[in-house]
Amino acid sequence: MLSYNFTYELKLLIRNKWLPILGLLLVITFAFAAFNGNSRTQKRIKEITNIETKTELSDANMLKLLDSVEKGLEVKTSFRNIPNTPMAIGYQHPRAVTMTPNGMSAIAIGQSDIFTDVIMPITVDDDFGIDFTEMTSSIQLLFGSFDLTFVIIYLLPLLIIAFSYNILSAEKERGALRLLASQPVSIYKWIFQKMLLRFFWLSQIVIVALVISFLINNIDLAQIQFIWLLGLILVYILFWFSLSFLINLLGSSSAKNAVFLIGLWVFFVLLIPSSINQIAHSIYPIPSRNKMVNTMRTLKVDVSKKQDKVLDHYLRDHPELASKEEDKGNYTFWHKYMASLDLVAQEINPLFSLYDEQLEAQQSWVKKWTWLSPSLVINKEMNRISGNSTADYQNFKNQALAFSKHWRNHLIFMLYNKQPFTTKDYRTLPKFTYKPLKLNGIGKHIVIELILCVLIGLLAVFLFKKRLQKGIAILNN
Amino acid sequence: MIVTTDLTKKYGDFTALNNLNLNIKQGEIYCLLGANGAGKSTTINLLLNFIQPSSGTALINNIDVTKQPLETKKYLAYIPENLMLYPTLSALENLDYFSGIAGKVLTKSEMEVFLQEAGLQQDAFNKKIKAFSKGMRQKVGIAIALAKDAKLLLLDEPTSGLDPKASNEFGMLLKKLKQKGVAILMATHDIFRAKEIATHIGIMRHGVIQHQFVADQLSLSELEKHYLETMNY
Repeated sequence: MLSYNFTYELKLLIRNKWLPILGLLLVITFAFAAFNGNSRTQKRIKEITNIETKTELSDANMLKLLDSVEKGLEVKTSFRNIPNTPMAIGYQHPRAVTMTPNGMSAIAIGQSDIFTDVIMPITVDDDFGIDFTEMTSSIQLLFGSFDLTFVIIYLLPLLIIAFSYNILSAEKERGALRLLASQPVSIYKWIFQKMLLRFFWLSQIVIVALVISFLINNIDLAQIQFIWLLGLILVYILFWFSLSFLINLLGSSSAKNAVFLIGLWVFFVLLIPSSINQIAHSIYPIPSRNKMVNTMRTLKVDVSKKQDKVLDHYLRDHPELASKEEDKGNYTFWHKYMASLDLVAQEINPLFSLYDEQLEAQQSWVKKWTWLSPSLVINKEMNRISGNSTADYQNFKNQALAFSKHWRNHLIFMLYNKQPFTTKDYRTLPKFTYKPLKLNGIGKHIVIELILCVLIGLLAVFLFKKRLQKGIAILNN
Repeated sequence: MIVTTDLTKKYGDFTALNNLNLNIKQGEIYCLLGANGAGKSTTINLLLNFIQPSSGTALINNIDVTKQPLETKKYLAYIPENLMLYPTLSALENLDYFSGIAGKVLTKSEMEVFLQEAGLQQDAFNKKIKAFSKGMRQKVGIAIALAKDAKLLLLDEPTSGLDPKASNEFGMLLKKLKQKGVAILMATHDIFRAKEIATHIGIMRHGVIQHQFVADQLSLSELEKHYLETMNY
């Protein structure tokens, strides 16, 4: 039966133009989506390269100046700009802290349009924590970006529904089912094969469309992540086919099948994700960004008014930085300022960490309920592959903050030890390298979704056998 | 070939078929006459196991229809009232597909022989079914039955909607099958065609066979009289 179904299903799909239309549609949407994702990635890479080039140039200039100063030559620049003090370095020559997109970044824009992936932490300020607080664009939230993840999670199921909603009901309505059912073949096996074949052809088209869209946009295909991506997409397609198999075997009319399946689409793709999101936001509200900015400003003003006191406190807390007896009292503006910054940081930190805690609580809540919708699971995994998920930006933020602290402490230590900054010190300046999150557990998710598909299939067969016994499966009801 | 014993189908309070006892042997054509809702189609649906009987049994080739439905379907062919095939496939392709999924592998020349035997004109073999008339589609249906080497043919009002010539051709075809030893059960409104081709005729009303005749033993007018009497009863 399979070989005949294979041959004739293919003939039918070609003759009623399903395959050519699907093929064209998918190639165009995939290519466009990959183009969008890739443009975003390229833009980010360009920004990062710009910053890095700028940093290199500025470093080269700094070294030149430093060299001249060290050789006792006269330099024509304001004393503030002479990079022979740690604070001049910390203030004017920040390191570029960047999060370079990975090779699969183009598949999902993810959070990359909300969060920044270039930071230049300077010692006088660490307000950049604010860059990571959420700025929500309602349009963006509503529609998402038109990237591959969007096409696969939202649009592909609709195509699958259109492609498979009436496999059984059309036969029934046309009357061919009676003739089929009078043959010595089991009807659910027959539909199962038809579904399997349609799944097979759609998967082939999707793979081809994906490969084409990658090739057109110069995205590297030869990476292990591509295999994971394919696995996720295929199991997602299978999930929708198994739902369609279930609805087909439940045996309503074509129109009802279509409505049921669209209902399931709304449920899994829209309702569950937005409910989980809404609930997460109401249980763990993110503190207001405006409040955070205002509090920070007020604090700074307050603290700057009492900088002398602040310094005393600071030195009491950091005895290692206190100057030797002979220098006592010989503190500059910078000493006071950095000490006050520390105080601001101490005050503002609870606010920042509240933000972090709430975000983490939200994420772990979402994680707890993600399994409710395969759309969410696949979406999340695809975002992880792209390296642009919330968790990735959270990871970058933590690394950036840690680096910024390290960078500041490095320079403050020099400041309080009254060390000048020399060419030699340049080599020991801390450097930032982004360590991406490990990509594990995707296989586990694929297997879980696969099991779900099998369960849906078994349920469908069970219900269909019941209907066969009642005698309502073949005849019109 | 077909044996039913007290075959009954009830839908709630309504009895669609009441204690039907039939015995159709090889080479017999049994025509079931009756108005709409008399139970003719119910009988055929029960024999195909599309619906389950409330009580009684139906045997096809001595195999219980409800217990081994797929086994019984190896021996039978069925032509529904409105035979629908795949419109975008040709006659040959439809024949190939329906035989193929049932496990019968046919060569092209074998298929052409079957289509010819079923009376389909040669130039229609490779044409798509969507352009076919009901008579032509039924011929493809017969070809499927021939290819299956069916021992028994179930027909549900096959001549309704056929023009007299097509109806006549169809009758001839059934006679040919009868000579090959096929048992045929045909539900019909067409008294004339029934008289002409049947070996046995049953008149059905309210799910019961009210009268049963050997076709040779009465004339067409007698049959018509009995029919009308049964209906007006």
